[in-house]
Amino acid sequence: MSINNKINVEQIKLSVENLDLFYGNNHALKKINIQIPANQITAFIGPSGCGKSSLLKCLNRMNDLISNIKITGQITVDNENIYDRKQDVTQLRRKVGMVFQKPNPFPKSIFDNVAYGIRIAGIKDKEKINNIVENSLKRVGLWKEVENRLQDSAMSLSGGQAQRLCIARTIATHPDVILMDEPTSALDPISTQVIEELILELKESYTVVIVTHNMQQAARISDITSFFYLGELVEVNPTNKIFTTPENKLTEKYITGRFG
Amino acid sequence: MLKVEKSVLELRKTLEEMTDIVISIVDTIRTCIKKENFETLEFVFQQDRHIDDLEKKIDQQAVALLALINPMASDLRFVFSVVKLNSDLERIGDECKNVAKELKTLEPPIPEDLKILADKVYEMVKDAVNALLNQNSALAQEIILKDDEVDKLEYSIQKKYSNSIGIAFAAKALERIADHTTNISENVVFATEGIDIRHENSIMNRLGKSDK
Amino acid sequence: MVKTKIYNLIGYTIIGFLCVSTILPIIAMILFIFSKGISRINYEFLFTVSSSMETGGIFAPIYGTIFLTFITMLIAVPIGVMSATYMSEYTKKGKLFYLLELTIVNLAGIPSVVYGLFGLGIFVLLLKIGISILAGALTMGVLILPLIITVSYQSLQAVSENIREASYALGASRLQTVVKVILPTATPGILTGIILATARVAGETAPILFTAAAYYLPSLPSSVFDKTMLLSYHLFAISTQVVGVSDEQKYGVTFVLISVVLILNLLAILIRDKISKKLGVHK
Ligand SMILES: Nc1ncnc2c1ncn2[C@@H]1O[C@H](COP(=O)(O)OP(=O)(O)OP(=O)(O)O)[C@@H](O)[C@H]1O
Ligand SMILES: [Mg+2]
Repeated sequence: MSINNKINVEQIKLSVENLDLFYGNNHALKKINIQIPANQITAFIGPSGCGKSSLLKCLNRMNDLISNIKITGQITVDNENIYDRKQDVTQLRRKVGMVFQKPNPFPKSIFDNVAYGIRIAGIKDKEKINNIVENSLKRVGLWKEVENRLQDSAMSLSGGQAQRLCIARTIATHPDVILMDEPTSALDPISTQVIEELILELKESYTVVIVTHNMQQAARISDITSFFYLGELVEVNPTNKIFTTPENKLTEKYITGRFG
Repeated sequence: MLKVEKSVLELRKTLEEMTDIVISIVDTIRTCIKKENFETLEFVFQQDRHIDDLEKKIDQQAVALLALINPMASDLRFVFSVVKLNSDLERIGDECKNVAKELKTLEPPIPEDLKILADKVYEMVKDAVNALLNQNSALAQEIILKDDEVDKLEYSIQKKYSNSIGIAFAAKALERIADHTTNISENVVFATEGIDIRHENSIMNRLGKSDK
Repeated sequence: MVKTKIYNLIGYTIIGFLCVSTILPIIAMILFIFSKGISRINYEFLFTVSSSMETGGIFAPIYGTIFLTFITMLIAVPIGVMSATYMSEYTKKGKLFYLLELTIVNLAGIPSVVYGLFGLGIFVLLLKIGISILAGALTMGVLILPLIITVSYQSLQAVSENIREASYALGASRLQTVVKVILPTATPGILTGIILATARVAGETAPILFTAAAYYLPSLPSSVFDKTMLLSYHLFAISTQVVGVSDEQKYGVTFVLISVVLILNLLAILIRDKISKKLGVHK
């Protein structure tokens, strides 16, 4: 394992500048500035309600669905402002995919789940769809387990399998960035480990941002860890640094479990 | 109290047992040299097994703590530093035995220089333990600075008494004890501040970095 | 331990008793009608168009009932499901929405004979459709719309937010999400609503009384613009209007009416289960 004490800012994939987010009067994110480098795993940690999910959902504009929300500041993906008027949201979400806390397969067949994203993107070629589905399932290590029952309902999968299916479904649309909101919190340790390994592999081709409550998980898989508290970004540093010598007292307190 | 705090405290208690013994044997050495009376030297050998047991116990506790509690940040650094300075403490015990062996071969009078050296080394050990138990980085840094004085003193003793193997060996062993206290101090600086000051060329460099 | 066991036993006994007491009347009724009407059932009774009301085959009303039910569903299901979809997926939950909801609930409470008169006024007379299957189906459609909308709305609402999010996160538009994910997922629930509605359409008398039903017709309706005989109305007619109809004939018709309703239900349930199974959801 390489020891990394500086953030490698060579290639910034996502950049958040002066982001403020309000739910009605609730100032949920305060002047957030963070840069997320390409092909690295960035973890968001912090106590419940500190705004991790809120920030994550800004990154692919999933918050657009919420009424009474106000967002100011700027977020760029590949130097393009995603809150620009001209931005096509569906296009953005294909580029910045998302995996959720609870595995949420559609009540459709395993095949149709993975094919969903590319079909709605307008791909009709059967051959191509078959290939993408197969490759995506292979990528998440699910192919062997389901190749003989692709037409079965995805609801018949175990939690860990279902979550891997959801990841396969996301990578089938070939995003650049994958956002994950506590992707293993509903899973057993073995499935968690499988998914952690998978995330580590994904980083070769994708930029991964993961919210996790499991500090060990952040420590194990992420390159960069950012600590949030009460809507503020307290500290961003290489994971190795955060977990050995955090700069901020609050981070130290949180990481050593002496909070509150 | 948090589980992690409890476990760290338990580790600390064992560590204190260890440092108590280490201080007492270094004190014994110092007193014997000072008073030129070697009657109580047996105590140093008696404590040896005790120290070995405690060394093992500390390592076991530390490993268990790392595996079960997953300490982070300052906790992690503390445990890590304890694992490392644990062997320094044990080696201090060994070096005390070496000094004691050499002393047994000597006849009074003992040179004044050796008495001063023993005094200095004792102070260093006491301070190092103090810095360790209170996680006092400033004190630890002072100890590191003192190491040079000890080195010089030992060098002059070696020169002066090159004909007396016993005195030369005892001085060498005392100097090594001082080296171990430097190691301990370095670990204390790491535990408290998270900076690794080992192998820095100049002392200024070492401490300049920890000024932050 | 023993105490808990005794309590359990008492609890189960009470529940079991209550359960039986709800099912028993239904079974008793069906058995009663079955025993009285079964003797009348034969090929000729079911599949010939009779030349008299008192005896003879009842194929005309059977055919009419199925025809009318089918047309009603053809009209009401798309409108109902689309309305429910609009309410569930497109409107903001504001004042207008609650007004709409309230109206639908109230509509469901209006007596069916009022619908009949409404159908007569609007479809038969005002729109000049005349007494016909179409007018009857439209009337019945209005009658069951609240039911279909309410049940569909509820099953759409029951579609988990997670699935919607998943679809949006994959770059789906709202329309794509509704059509490809939400509606299919809600289908079993919506079908339940349709089942209930089907049974209602086949059994209702009042709404078709003035809009579609013929007292007696010697032939089958040939298009939606024809009047038709209907089982429910036929039963009403032979029980109250015509003299000299044998009990056996009446029970025979009753038996067929119930059977048609049950068969329609059964069919719908089978379809629903098949879809549920395919989706992998268990309702
Ligand atoms: N849709 C919403 N409407 C209103 N307030 C919201 C909404 N979502 C989140 N909030 C509020 O915003 C704050 C941040 O919530 P968020 O979900 O981002 O926290 P989180 O860090 O992800 O917490 P957790 O770790 O529990 O998931 C909280 O105070 C929460 O109550
Ligand atoms: Mg969250």
